[in-house]
Amino acid sequence: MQTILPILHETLLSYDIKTRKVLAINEEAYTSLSNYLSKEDITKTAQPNLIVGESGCGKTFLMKRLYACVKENMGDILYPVVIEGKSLFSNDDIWSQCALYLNIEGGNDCFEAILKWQETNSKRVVLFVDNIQYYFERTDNTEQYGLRGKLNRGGAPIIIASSEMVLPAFTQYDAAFFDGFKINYLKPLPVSAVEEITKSEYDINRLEKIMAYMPKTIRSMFIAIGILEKSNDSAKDLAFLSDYFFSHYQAKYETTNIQTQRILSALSQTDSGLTLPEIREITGQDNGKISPYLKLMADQKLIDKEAKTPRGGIYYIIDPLFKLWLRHNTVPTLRIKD
Amino acid sequence: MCISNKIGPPVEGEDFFGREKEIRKANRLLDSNHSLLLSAPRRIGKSSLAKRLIEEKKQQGWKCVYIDLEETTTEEGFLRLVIEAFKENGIWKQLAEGMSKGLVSVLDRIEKISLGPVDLNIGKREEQEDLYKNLKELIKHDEDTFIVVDELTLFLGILNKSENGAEKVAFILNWLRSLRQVSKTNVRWLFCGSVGLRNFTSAMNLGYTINDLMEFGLGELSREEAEGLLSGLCKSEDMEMGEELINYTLDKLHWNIPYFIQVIFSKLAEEYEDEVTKESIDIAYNKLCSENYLSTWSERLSEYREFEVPARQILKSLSTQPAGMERDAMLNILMTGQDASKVEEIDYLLSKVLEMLENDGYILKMDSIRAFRSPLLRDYWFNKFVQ
Repeated sequence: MQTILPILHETLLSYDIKTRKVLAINEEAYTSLSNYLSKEDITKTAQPNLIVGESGCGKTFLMKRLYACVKENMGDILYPVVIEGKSLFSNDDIWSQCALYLNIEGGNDCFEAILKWQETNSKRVVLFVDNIQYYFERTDNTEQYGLRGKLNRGGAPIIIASSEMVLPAFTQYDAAFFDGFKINYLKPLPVSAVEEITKSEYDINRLEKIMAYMPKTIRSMFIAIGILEKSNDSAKDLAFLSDYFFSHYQAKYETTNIQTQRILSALSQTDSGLTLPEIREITGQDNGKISPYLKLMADQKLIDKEAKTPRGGIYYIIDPLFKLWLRHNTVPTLRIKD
Repeated sequence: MCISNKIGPPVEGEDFFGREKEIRKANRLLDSNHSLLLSAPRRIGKSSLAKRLIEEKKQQGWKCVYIDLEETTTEEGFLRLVIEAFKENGIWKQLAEGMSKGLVSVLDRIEKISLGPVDLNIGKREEQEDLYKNLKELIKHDEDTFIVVDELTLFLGILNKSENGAEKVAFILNWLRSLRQVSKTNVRWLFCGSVGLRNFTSAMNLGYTINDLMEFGLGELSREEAEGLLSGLCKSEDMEMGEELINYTLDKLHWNIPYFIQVIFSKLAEEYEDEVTKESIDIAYNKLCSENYLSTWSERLSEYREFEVPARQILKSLSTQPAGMERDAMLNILMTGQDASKVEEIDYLLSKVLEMLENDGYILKMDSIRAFRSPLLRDYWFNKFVQ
């Protein structure tokens, strides 16, 4: 499932939450991480933690809960700081933003200033870094060794970060952070969990039908619930879902060229995908005008090929929601030759 | 007794050393009419043990057959091997009055096969089924017979990749099962393979076809046997090696399977001038890690099919961690670059891969840690794939 949901996102900074009144999702990870924080000795080397889960599964929400938990329950010894990974290009960025958050003058050595602040206030900083993959993709191993060296100091800030994916920087033998993070996976949410989470009853069959087009995340579930609350007619559920993402997929569609649009339209009309000769027949295009575009579309991760033999295979649209949108918004390709 | 150092091929006669406990157990099971499944890591001495059992059973008057499927890639090739081996060892019934036309015709073809190429006519399903049915009826089930089929999984794995492979594999496994199910049969089977037949059949939902086989394990040599083998090899080459050095070598190998003892001994013998020292043992060990003696362990991973890539990822990481790794760390390695939503799917894949690597002797599990079973193999892997 590769659908990307562009909406309903809340950054770490958008609002504070109260830990007593939150959705019961990713409880296992929350309990494990809050227990860890409550037991961490403030003078020892901390265990870096990483929360990994797909977009919309509640990583940022989990960090907000942890942030609130530290603030409300552990404020006497810990101090939460939030940083957005997209803003990080170097180690200096991490420490200068942290110093800014603590409202201290870092000067040339923000890290030392942070340690001094911790000593003065008898508190240890907990760095919540959302989307830390940006930092690791933008920095080299030497820089990352520098970060590890600082984090490994006794009493240095504790880091809890999130990423959509496990990067080689966390698992490769020669990487600075090889085995350096304890990784906490946020697992896909089963549709059956909806009632437990929302404490309301929904038509599970309709919900499952809508959720089949989206990743199994809390964000998707809220979108699906929103559609059920808006639509009285189950036949229209998928049309609402398609409308919901109209702008996103319209923008995506507009970035493609005509030949790609032609192939997408053809592929969107079938349930199981098409072979090259079938695409050629439906679009009325020659091989030479299809094959290069199929390769391009595969590179762009728009389509994939289920290979039966090395020479053949069935092409299909990767994102089921994009396919749904195409079905609802494009007509079957007209058999017109260039 | 003089042991010659044969590295690789199965050893026979005086070159076979130890395994007395295992042989006793196998004999006991065979005598009580069980057929056996010997799935053990490669190079541990399965074929040598099988050949030893054949020697013993022959002495007891049993008819014995050894079929090695290592080089067979087709169903026809498999059938030819079986037909020829059975013919050579008198397993087929003789022509007799009252035999059906079908049986007579198959017997005629069996006779001709030993003289030259004969078309087995297994192109059509009905002809194939008839042939297998007739072959089953032609086996003498009333005589004590011991049939060893070596590398069955390897052959089935290759066959599975051919056109309608899964169907052919299922057919052969079911046919072999039907041979074992003949009422009051005195034919006992031993299936050996370095690739676990249980893993293979379970992945293809064919576990039922081998559930009548008694699992028979083969581990490393006991310390006493390992010492005996190494000291026997030294004696055969007139090499001096005291108890301390023998122990040093065996400690270094840690996992004392005959093959590892034989390869390190061959390196020591190559460099031997007038004495073996700890330094020369270290040099021999390091040479083994950097040469191709152990490449078969890497090559055979291709038999893991879709599990080969994750298996290599796991082994590569484990080779960097002499103390071993937790399962979670291995999951992280397989999750690298993957869509996070696949975590459960990859967790399951990891379970399968770990099970296969454990069954095949690459790794072992100690509490929650997995590590290379042999430091020699681990160091080889590190030299070859990491450094």
